[in-house]
Amino acid sequence: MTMVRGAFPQLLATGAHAVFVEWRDIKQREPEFEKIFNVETSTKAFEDEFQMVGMGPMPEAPENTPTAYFDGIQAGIKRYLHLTYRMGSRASWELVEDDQYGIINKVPEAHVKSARFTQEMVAANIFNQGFTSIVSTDGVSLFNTAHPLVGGVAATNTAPGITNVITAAGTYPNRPTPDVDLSITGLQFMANVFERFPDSQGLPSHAKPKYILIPPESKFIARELLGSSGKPYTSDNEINALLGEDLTFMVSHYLTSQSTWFALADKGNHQLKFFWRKKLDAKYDDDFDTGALKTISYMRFSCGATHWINTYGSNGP
Amino acid sequence: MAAVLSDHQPIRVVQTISGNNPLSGEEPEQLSQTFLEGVPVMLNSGFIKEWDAVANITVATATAGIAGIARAPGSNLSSSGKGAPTAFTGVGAPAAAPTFGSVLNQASAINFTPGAPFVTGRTPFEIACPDTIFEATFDDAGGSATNATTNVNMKGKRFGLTKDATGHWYVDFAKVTQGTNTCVIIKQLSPLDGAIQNGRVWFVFEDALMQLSGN
Repeated sequence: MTMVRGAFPQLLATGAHAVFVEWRDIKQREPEFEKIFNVETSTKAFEDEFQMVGMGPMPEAPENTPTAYFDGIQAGIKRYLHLTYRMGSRASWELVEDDQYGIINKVPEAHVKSARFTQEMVAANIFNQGFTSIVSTDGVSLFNTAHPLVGGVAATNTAPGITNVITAAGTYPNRPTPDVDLSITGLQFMANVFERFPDSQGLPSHAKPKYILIPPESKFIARELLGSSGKPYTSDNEINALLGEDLTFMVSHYLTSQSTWFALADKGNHQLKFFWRKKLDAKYDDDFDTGALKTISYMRFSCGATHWINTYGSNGP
Repeated sequence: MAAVLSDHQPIRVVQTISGNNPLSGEEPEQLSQTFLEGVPVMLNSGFIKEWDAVANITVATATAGIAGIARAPGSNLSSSGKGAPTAFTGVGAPAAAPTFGSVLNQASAINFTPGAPFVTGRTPFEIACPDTIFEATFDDAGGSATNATTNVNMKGKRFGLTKDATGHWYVDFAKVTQGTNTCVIIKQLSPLDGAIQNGRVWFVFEDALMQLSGN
């Protein structure tokens, strides 16, 4: 479609006190995905990341006995295949010329808002679809009650104190069973899961949740849970033990469920990745025959999770 | 009887009438497709598969016919559209082919050689539309070298497409019954070949067979 004067008669005559231009006059939200994902750049069509697993515990060697040998293990691979996102708009030469408010010339700015939404939505869908279709190197959903460990049952036998956390031998969860709302017990269980996070051979890792990622509807309860000096929702004079976890919450306006919530370690300690292949850019040109002004905006990126470690998600009750 | 040539060139776009870029599409691929680049493909229940060679279409319909010419070989997906992105999602696993081996204790994990060809779960193709002119080799399924020789009288005539033993398709002298087995209309002979045995011909698809662009 080409925007022509017949569709914008108000722009052709002066006299309006103001034009409310949505893409300029409605303030946009700050980018959110950059606070969550490890943002990197790529110069290739895709980026491959694979996992290498080390050894389990070092065994005791009785005097003068041969050394026991163990192998590293190559685990799964994850590919980030960059997709192109692009949109264009066209306006007739006459409309550009006759526009008394200079609005049509600013239409390409609306592309920026559209592009930002796409960036945020694609990134947020790593969480929205993390209970179903988003997978990392182990091939199961990103947030799962039983991530299979490469070390298998030996790994969960090795990992100290995880029997109350796991649902099956040889696996480790980053999702509660069953799913729970954001609550004291939900956060406490999540903190325990983080504290006990093993590597693929069952060796404890340094894992600490830093952010609770929530939809806007949960911000009030998040404030109560993470901000009360006393234990919320009790008449006893207990302290709020969650304060010691030093958790903060972050509202994502692109989560589609009102009851999901997630916990993440600090950036750099989890494996959620966002690759810029080409940041948002634009091209302008005039159509030689008609004089129509054409603008195209485009970008390329991909995002996902290489590994589920140091992430946690609950899909509400 | 075999055609004169045992192998034929992939069908490709040579020109558009408008001078614009040829109209391209990309749709989720049906499972188990192993077709070659440059073959006719069709949409089957929303998924791309190699054309079934059914040209007997009496009514223009979107459920049969030719969607276009594949720009990449089939990916032999394990399920239809596997990994294909949907609205606001990226390409899902495996995103590459071939995969190999297995991962210890992780039945759903995959492995492929870093840098392996990428797979999006979709097939890119040049859409069969009135604007796009394709090129293919002319041959005769009956094996006659004389019949496989192009000539200027072929311009404007209709022929069918036949698949050879290698998986490529050619414009077939033996298919000339309109409404039964024809699917292309010859626009001209390749200017590089002229009238020669197994010359290349430039053609458009018949309207009734264009799945995405027919009348």
